[in-house]
Amino acid sequence: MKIYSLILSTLGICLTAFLLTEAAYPQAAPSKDEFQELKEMIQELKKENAERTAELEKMKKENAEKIQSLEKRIDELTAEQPKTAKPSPQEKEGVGEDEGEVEKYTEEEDERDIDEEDFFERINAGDKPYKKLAEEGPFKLTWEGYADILFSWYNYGPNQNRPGGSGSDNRLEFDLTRFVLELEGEMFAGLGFEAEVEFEHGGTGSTFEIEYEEFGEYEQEIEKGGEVNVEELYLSKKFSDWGKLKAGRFYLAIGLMSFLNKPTDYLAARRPESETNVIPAVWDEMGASFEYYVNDNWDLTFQVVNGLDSTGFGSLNWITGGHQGKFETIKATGLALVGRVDFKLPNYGLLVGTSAYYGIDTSANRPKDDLPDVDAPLLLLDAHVIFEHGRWRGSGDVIWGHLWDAEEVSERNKRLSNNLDVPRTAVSDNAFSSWGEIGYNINTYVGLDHLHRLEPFVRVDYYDTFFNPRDTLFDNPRYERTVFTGGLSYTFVNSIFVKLDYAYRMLGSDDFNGESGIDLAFGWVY
Amino acid sequence: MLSKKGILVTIVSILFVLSCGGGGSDDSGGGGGGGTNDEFIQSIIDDYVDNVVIPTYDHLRERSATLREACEALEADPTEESLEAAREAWFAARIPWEQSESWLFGPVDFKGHDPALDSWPVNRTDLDAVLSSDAELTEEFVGNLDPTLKGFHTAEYLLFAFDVDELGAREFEYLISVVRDIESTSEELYTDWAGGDEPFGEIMKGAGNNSVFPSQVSALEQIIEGMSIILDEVANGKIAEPFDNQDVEAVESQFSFNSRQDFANDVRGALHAYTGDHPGLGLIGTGLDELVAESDPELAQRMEDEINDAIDAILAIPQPFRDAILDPDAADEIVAAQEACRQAFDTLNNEVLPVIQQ
Repeated sequence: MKIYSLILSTLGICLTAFLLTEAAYPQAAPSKDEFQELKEMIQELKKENAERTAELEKMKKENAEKIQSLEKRIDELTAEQPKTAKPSPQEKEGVGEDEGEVEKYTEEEDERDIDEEDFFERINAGDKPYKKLAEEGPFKLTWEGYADILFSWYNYGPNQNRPGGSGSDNRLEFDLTRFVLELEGEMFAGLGFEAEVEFEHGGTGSTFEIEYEEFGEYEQEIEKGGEVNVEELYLSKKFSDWGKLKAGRFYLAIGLMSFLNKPTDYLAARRPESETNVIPAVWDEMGASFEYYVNDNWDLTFQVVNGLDSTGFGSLNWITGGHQGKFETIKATGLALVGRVDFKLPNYGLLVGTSAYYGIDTSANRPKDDLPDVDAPLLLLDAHVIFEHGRWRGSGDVIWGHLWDAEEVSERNKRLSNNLDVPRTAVSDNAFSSWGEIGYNINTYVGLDHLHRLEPFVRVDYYDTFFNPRDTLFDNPRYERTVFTGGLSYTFVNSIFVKLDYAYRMLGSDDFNGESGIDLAFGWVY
Repeated sequence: MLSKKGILVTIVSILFVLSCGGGGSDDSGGGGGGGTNDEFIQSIIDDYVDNVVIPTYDHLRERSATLREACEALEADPTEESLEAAREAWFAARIPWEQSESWLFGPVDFKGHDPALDSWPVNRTDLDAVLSSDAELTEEFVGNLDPTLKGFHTAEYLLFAFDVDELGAREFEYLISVVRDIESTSEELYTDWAGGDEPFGEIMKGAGNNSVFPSQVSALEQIIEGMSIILDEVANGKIAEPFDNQDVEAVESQFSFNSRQDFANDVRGALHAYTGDHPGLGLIGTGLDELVAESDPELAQRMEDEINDAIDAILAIPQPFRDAILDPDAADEIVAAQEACRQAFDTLNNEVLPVIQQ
């Protein structure tokens, strides 16, 4: 048995070994052609596989982009919601908002209520909410701001204080006019803050300027913080949809430039020089402000702020130089009161209004108490309009101002130290400023859709910083200025703008040369 | 200037220091040396105030009064002779004023007297507009005008740009108010330094004992800064601006053709400030030159020579300056005058100032 078993085992092993060798399959051995064919098949399959993988990757990428785009849109809508529902004067140009957006805002308000409950629960539990919330952020933060870059050509010299006015010239100037960072924070219960930092002319610290009002001397301009200014910094409290309280530094509710300060808010390349030469340009002060939204049509604003410093008043720019900023702190012994009434017709894209400023005592804010018996109160009255209807858009403003005790102020100012860096020229009792601009959107006429605005426009400025001065003051015609501006404004999704315009300035007498300039401005609002 | 008096003062100072045996200490906050040196520096500051600044302002107020009188005489009797007399009075008043521009600090600065008296260039368009306005050109009205519409150059325009028969009631009204304003401002300048409750001259002489001049050296630095400002202004402002831009309208004293004399008197003021002397008024005093000579006699003399060279170079520019800036043949002299002023400026700041500060 053993022998048989051994023989059978040996045969089995041999058979297995044979079967495992190629020799067991003489007919399965491929020919060279078949081998090649199989190789080609593998190559084809690999190729197909690679193509499908690429297609898959492409689809993945496309989907990722779509997802990203949708997420971005969600973020944008989220960011826009509080703005659209906030009927503050700053957003007045955006009258007639989308109802859907208002609805979404309401939903978000509900969500905030839940957060608010959570917040108070944690406080009651002895938690330190500011620490916990800091991880997520106690404020819902929003970045905004804008950039404005300007290339200019002038046919006149920079010194107007020459016989016949400025001489003829041919010069270019480039300017990083301003870059603004604006941070808004919103908490629960309508609490929030806003901080706005402006970088002017791309620089910081001090600069040299040629003061033609001071006989062409080179002067070192030292402003507070150089040319980086904290223009707004305030804490706010919203009261449902009927009011808002601010405390800190904010824009004054006088004139229009405080409300139309972004480059896409106005049509010309520059801000209207009439308003910016008669009152401080985009005028901000410190104090408290209350906005009362009576209904959809009426808004009221009341403000109590620090007043101006009369040492800075002068001939060329009237009271503009009185805006404080040379010293570390702002003198507020002389307060100022501001009131404003705006009437809106959202369906017609119209806003008209009036405002008043009363500086109780501009002498009280002088660096030294060198005019103790003179109050020099200041009154400014303004009327303004903003409209955007169909293809038409425009705005306009008229300001009249009166300074009491202007003679005493002038007399004292001309004896101020040169080191104070103020004009030391006489200030008029009255000043007047007016401007208006209108543009017509021709986007679809030239094949552009509604994401674009293309608006030919015209603007007229007229202002006089020596408007009906006292009898003892020479009414110098060089201080009466009229500017005609015309050009083309282009904006894309109300964010990117390019403006090209031509401006012609006339002084108040034929004895002075006219002045022409071309401006190209561009930048973005975000 | 290395004067006999300077040498004498130096020798006496050295002897005094030796006799004291170095026992004295400086507690005044002034510069370097011992008590004797403080007295020496004090004498420089005192002579600067009493021999240079105050006599110059005194001279200015006298000549401003003479100018006003001459203009009133012209109004009363408008003849070629009286016009010529008024012009001469204007030239005469310019001399002390321009010399005083070597110390445009103190009341003349912080009270804004400099622009009120001497703003330039004035522009005829505005001056004519004042003349053709309806306003009554009282002294008060003129006092309220912008600085470019009053002061020496407005008076110059009215006296030199018109012939006597062109001067009407309106021009006289303006002229008289302007020269009265010059006179009262000049009077005030003198009083600010020499009179009143707190004369600035006494503040400067009290250097080391007040916050305006915290040390004696700070007063000397102020003297040098005043000199530097005018040397720079003449070279790089008064001459350079009209010359570089070929712009006659930017020339100072363009109606009277007095530019060259103005510039020379500016630099003469710097010489007075440096030496503590006012030779025109017969006043000789102790100056910075003597202090510099203590350590570097060669530098002291070179500084004085360079200031004199600058005056000579300015006077070598062909007359009138307003025509010379447009004349290519005069360019070398104009550039040489600028270079001479710059050379004096460099020596003053790079060599003299460090010696003072030692």
